[in-house]
Amino acid sequence: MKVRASLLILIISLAGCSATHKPWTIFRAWHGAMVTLSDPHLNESITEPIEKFGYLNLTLSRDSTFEFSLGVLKDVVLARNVFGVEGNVVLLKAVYKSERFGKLRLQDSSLILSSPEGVIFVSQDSVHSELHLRYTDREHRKWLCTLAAKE
Amino acid sequence: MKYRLPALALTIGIAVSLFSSCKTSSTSPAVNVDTTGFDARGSDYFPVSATDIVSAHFRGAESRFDLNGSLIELDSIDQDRTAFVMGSAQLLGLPGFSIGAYNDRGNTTNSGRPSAYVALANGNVYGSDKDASTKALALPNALSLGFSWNPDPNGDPRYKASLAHYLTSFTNHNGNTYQSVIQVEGTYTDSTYSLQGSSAHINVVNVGATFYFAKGIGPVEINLHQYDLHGYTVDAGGIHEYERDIMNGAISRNR
Repeated sequence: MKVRASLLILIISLAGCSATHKPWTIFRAWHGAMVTLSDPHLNESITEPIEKFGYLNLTLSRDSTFEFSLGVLKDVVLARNVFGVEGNVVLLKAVYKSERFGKLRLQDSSLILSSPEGVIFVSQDSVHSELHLRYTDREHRKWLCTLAAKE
Repeated sequence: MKYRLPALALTIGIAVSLFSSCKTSSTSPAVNVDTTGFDARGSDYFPVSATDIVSAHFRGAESRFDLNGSLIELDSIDQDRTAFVMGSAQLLGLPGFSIGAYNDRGNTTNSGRPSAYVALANGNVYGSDKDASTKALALPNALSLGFSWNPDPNGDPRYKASLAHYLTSFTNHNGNTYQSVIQVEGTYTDSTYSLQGSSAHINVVNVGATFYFAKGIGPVEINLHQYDLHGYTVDAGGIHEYERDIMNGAISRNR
């Protein structure tokens, strides 16, 4: 009987562990936390919380599909001179929404999300449970976004 | 991030140049229309002065599809844009005005140079793009219900426009109401096949838009109700670089 009770406790413990401690996976829904926009030619950058002006969401699925959405819901106004433009001008104009859908693929240590708008590189930081997302926009500005897992 | 729609959507002030890329659908004239208050001079529906500043609201969406018909991208905007008369200018010998517009950051587009030109002559309204190398007939001096014309400078049959309706009153998407409005339908259709070595590039485009001009005011709304573009390259290996773009939206004058 003692053996059976121990076995039962062990099974319950393991079941409890598996229920509360999910393994790290990138295949889930993510939301943008911070974005750093930089101009490599001018060697300048700004960092803002994404929620300050909109949203950035990314869903990576096990069937190798992705959904990426970016929304600028409020004008992003520069408080200082940066990127060769004076302060108090609009850097990103609202309202603008962009969604991309497609297949992801693995290249080196990054995930590649391709669309007609360009390529998004996604790398994972399993230590901090974050994703880092990089791409270059039409104006050759570099975007670096930190994404956290959605609950 | 690429802001494609703002780049595509021209401001009201340079709508004339957009107009030049449209062709009309044939619309049957309405019967027993009261044309009191309307006249035939196109320039009465597109007054321009040296101090004009026009603001308009842009609403629109662009969808892109892959070869399988799956949606791969969706962009949308909901923004104000402003155009203004930069100064007096000559458009191929006609007295007119140069038109500028503001970009997202409040700077003038085209690096401070004109983005379009407008000229009024003998009741006609002409427009051109930033190069001012050709002039399109935006509104003629012979407006009547059902009248069609070709706005293209060279008479390219892909372009056509026609006066579809007289409207005593018209309210645009911003809720602004205007009196004595003409409704112009424009369409542009094209299909090209070009051989490049052992491959061929195919493009098919269909554009349809409705323009509303208020007498004594100018353009008050443009509805882009159809923009459908197919493009792809085909060779022995199959189809490559396929793209299908669909856009729709409206540009509505703010006052």
